[in-house]
Amino acid sequence: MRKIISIIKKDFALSLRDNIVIYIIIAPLLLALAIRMFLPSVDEIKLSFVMEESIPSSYMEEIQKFGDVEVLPTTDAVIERVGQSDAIPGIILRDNVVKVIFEGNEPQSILNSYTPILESIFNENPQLNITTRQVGENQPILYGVMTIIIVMTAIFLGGTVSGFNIISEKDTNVIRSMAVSPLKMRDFVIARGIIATSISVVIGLLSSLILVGFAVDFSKVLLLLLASSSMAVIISLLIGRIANNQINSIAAIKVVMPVFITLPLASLFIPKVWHLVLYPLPNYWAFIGLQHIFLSEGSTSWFYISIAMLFLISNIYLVAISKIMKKHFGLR
Amino acid sequence: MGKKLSALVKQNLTLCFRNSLIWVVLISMIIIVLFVNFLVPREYETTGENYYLDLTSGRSIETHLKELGMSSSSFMSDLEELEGLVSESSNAVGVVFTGEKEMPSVEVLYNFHIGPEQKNIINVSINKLVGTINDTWQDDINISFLRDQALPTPRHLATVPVLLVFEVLILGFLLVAVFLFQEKGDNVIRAYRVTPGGTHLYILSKVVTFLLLGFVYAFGILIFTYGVNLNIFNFIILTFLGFILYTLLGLIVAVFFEDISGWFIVGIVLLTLNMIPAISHQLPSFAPSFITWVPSYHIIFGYDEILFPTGKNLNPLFASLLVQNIVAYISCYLLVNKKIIKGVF
Amino acid sequence: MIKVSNLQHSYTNDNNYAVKDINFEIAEGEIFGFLGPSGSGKSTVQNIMTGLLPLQKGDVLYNGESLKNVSSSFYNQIGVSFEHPNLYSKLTAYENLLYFAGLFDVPTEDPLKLLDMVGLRDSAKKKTANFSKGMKQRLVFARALINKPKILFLDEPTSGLDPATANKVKEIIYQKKREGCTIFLTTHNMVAADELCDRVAFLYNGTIVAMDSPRNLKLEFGQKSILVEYRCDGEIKSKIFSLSNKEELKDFNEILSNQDVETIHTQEATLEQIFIKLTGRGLE
Repeated sequence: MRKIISIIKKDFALSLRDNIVIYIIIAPLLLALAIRMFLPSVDEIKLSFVMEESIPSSYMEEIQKFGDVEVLPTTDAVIERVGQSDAIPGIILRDNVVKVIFEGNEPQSILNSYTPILESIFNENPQLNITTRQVGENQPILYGVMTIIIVMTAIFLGGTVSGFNIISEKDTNVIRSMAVSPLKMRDFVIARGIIATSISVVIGLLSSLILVGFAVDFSKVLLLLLASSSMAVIISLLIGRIANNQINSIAAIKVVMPVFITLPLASLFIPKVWHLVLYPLPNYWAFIGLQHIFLSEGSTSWFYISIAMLFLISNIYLVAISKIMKKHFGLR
Repeated sequence: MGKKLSALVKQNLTLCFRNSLIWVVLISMIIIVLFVNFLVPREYETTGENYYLDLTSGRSIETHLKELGMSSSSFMSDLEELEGLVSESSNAVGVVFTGEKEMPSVEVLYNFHIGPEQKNIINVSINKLVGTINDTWQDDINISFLRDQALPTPRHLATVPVLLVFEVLILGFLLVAVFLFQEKGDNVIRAYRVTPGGTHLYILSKVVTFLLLGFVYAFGILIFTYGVNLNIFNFIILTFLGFILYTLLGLIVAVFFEDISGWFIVGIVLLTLNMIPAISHQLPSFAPSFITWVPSYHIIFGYDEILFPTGKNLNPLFASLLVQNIVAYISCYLLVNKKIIKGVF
Repeated sequence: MIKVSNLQHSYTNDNNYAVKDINFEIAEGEIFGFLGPSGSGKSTVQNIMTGLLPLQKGDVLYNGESLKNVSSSFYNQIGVSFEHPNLYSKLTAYENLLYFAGLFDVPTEDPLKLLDMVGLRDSAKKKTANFSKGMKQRLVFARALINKPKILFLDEPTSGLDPATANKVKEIIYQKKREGCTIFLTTHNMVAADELCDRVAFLYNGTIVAMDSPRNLKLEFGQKSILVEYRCDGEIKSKIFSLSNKEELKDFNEILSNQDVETIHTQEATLEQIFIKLTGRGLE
């Protein structure tokens, strides 16, 4: 126990003196803040239109109910604006007839969004009596997905910080002195696990709070982060094994991080039967648990199953990887 | 200059191998190819699910909608079921029809906040739906297209332009920083400074080395996902201009830092900001003006046009990138000269 | 060949000078040594002369041309060996030399020949990350010779080397001198300076306190006497004889002829002793 505490104290002391570690901890929180400020505009995306000045103002008032309207002085200016990279229809007056122009490269879904609006404005169409009612208090889906990504990133970054400490020990050859001490691989792994988990929990909880407030069950978030501790250690051991210095570690992170985060994200799109391929991955189960928390997907019992799978699978891998790494690090 | 450049490029490529950066590129390329070809579906919806409850007499709206091809699973049998489904789903909308088929009253259920414009958009869709069923909807508008309408893009290939920008082009941004900090750590810049090398050679050697890697990466992704049935010349020009721009920007940022610790947060924040245009790529109607200032915005759509041509002229984009490259090179030269080649350390 | 006049440098851009009023000249083919303790300003002067530090005040002339006006081709003519090894750790010894050679417009030495000269031929294919300090130092020295320079700047070239290797390096330095190379050497190793340099300058607190050939400095500041240890009646006795006193010289001759002389040492000052005498502190 004393050895474990000693490593933890040393790692925390070193981490706080290393800017990169401080930035790793702060960056996701800053990102969460930025998303919080920025994303409402994505989920309340308004359509955009561009109109020629000579179009009757009554049409502009109608169009403004659906989105932003940019007014340009001439037909050519409108045509040039439509030709730009974004998807925006232009409304011009030609031979006293109102015309709508699209560029031609818009996806069908965009055309399907604009067409009913334009048909409604430029024709006399029946207007139904439509009321709205909000049921439930979910965040927009993009929020949920971004929060999941940030919490996954938090788990990864917890492992990264530990990984950097291992790299530093390799780079300075301190690991050789540890190899001739009573320290065992088990103590080494436990210490790293505590550090990685602490950082993941702090970043994960704080960024969730920033993004979704108290709209989710934080006890579930905490449970998931604790269950992910072995996964964070696996990441730290992988990074510590692959890289010999901080510079190499950037290369290692560049490969490992997208795989860690993106593979489970793919489960959103692939047919359910293909999920079996992802079952052996602990990050997949972490993602399933996070989907339940932040996107209200799946039942509570399925959440607890995913937690159990996450814990079990990641520990199996950790035991195997620890045995392999023992030799590399020279520990008993 | 040619001999010196060749010597430095060979040196840099050797260092790329020894730093396992070549492996990073190759492994990333394989992962991306597998991801695009096998994990991203050909088609997927980005809009939410709609569910309906028809309480009109005879449930005639439901009958008509099913005849139009809507799935039975979209229709609920009672309000409680519909409310439960909407409140539990992440992105669903529920629509309740009551009254008569010809002029029903409609209640729309949401489970998250939406703005008035979005409500109006949904309302218009419902108006059109009912109007189409009752054959009362007038769709007489004069629409024309500047160019021939593009064929639908397979969703999995639509990710390729995004990956080319956010994986391939930013590689130069990352690699140049990695190299610079390694050189600072080894203190070899001092040795370079007492040679005839100079600033131009220093910058060009980095740019050329990473450009070679970048082309391998870009073509690797392109060939194994999309194929080569495209305007290769335009592809090469866009990759050339984009990659050099990001490499120069990477060097401009990196010279202000002594080591990777200092650079890390700034570099990652800039790369993250650089990715914002990906949202516009997925949601083309979302293009606030600040996004259009991010270099990757126009480049993504440039790759889009090359891979899925619609007849758009890319020369203005190339010209703009050329100008940006010139400005970036001049800035890079001044900074590298001041902070690296003539800097005191 | 090299003329340094009124050189001054402040790292803090105020009146706190690291070096001030430095004036000296180095003739072509001369080995000129800068001797002084750590922090005295030796490396500062060398860095200014090689352009690594800006020329704040004063001037450095190379064959009459100011350092301020030299073009990049100037660097084809010089070689610099740094005190702290600065090599690409991921490249082998051979590769470090090979790629460095590619930066010059002039014919360069064969890297393998240089590695052979400094005793690193067997380590040519090893990455320098695995080199000892002495090996790195030798490789840095070898790199300084790659472009067959006319002027060599050597900063502590024998630092960290064992005596045998240090001798090897000194031999190479002598060889370069014979080939007409002008050498500017900075060191705090007085033995190396004494052996190698035609002239030395003592640097203390950023100023030159003495400058002459080692021989002249010793003659000026040393004693012309010898210490003799001899065995007499089972005991070791010692006596100093002045070389300028004829009576003492007769006594010296007598002891030499009649006693069991064990050691004879001249009492000329070492450079370190001269330095201490002039500055009140040692070279370390």
